[in-house]
Amino acid sequence: MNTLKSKSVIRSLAYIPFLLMLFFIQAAILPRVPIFGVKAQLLPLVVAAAGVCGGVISGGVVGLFAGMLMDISFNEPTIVYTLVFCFLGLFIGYLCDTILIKRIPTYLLMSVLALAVSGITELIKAIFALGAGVAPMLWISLFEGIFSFIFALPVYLITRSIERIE
Amino acid sequence: MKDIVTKKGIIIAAIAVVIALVAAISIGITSGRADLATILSEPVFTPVKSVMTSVVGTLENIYGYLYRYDELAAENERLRARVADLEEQYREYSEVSEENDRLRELLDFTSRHSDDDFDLEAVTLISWTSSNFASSFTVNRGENSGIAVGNAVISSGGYLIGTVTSVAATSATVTTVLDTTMSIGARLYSSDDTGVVEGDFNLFRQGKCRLGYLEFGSNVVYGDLVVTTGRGGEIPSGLIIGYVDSVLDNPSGNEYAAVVRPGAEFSTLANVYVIKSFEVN
Repeated sequence: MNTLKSKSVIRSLAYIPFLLMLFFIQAAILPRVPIFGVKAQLLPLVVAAAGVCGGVISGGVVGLFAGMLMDISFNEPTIVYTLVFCFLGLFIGYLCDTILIKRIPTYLLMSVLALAVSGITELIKAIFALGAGVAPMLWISLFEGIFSFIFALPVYLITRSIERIE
Repeated sequence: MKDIVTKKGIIIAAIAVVIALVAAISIGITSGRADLATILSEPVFTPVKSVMTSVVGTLENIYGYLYRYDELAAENERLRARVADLEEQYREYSEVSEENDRLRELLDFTSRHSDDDFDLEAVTLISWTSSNFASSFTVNRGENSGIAVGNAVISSGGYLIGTVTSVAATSATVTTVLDTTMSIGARLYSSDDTGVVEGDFNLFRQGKCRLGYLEFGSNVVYGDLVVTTGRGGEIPSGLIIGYVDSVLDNPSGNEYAAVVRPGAEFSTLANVYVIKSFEVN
């Protein structure tokens, strides 16, 4: 029991700098290097990775904190992403604990899901808040997803290393 | 007979040598070109010297290559270090020069706006939003510094960047003129035609915004200055928003619209100014 607790503590401690690093890259570096005017999002990827590698608990907890950081990185005082990512992490973790095999193809599929959920959330927020047309925003979401997907593998490998800490 | 020849021969030879020596000395003295030793040794030693010089020269080169290599390498290293040092000095000079230009610009800006009674707060940009549907950034000063929601934010060049949309104790969020939630009263500087500058999703990623609601028949010219009207009292009038980049085709039949290229260079923003209060003229 104590070993299990200490493992969880070590993993949590390892996740903190990793999440902060992703937040730093997403909030401070990527906005300065947009591709076709679009910025990549890294935090949805870590939610998918934690759900796939660590299961429902890791997915939920990492989702919660990644969502909080996502809200902060958007300079918006809302908790939309905090809630969405928490549920997303729980959902992916549940799927991987019950039906899916915890392998890279599963992760890639789940990262596409996470990026899609993130894009749709932003899209819905924009449509409700701005009343803007859907077509131009869909293109932005699509570019965002493609650009973000480039970072999928490194995020997965680091998350898997954290989850394998003994 | 044999003895006589021999004696005579020796004497003649001795005389010939003496005459030759005297002649040589006399030539040397009169012309001042060479001493006797030189004259005597030249025919023999010159070719030898020449060969020796050549050999020594070759040996010296080999010696230099073998034994002065370290010295040359060290000298090369010293020169490289010197070049690096000079390059560093040049870089520092360039940076100082750029900073000087920026400060001159600031000074010029301050002097230009001293009559406007702007109460300015210099702030530093912390981070841009990660959202692809918004254009906003956070700055390092907030309520504690007297910044309030609605305050206009300008660049060091005096161009309008946006307005403060949320404020915390020590930070504030500035939404730029590119954001689709922004709507600012504007007029064309040359014709005084008024309209509204607002963010547009189609122009957003190009770093441009839209000047809409211009009356039908307005005189919109490429490159015309777009400035704030100051209506509403939150933003001072006459702040430069940008320049007309292109004129849009009659969008609704009874109004004109134009694409506006902001005057401020958003990608290089580092320090901006919040207008906390101003005199309304």
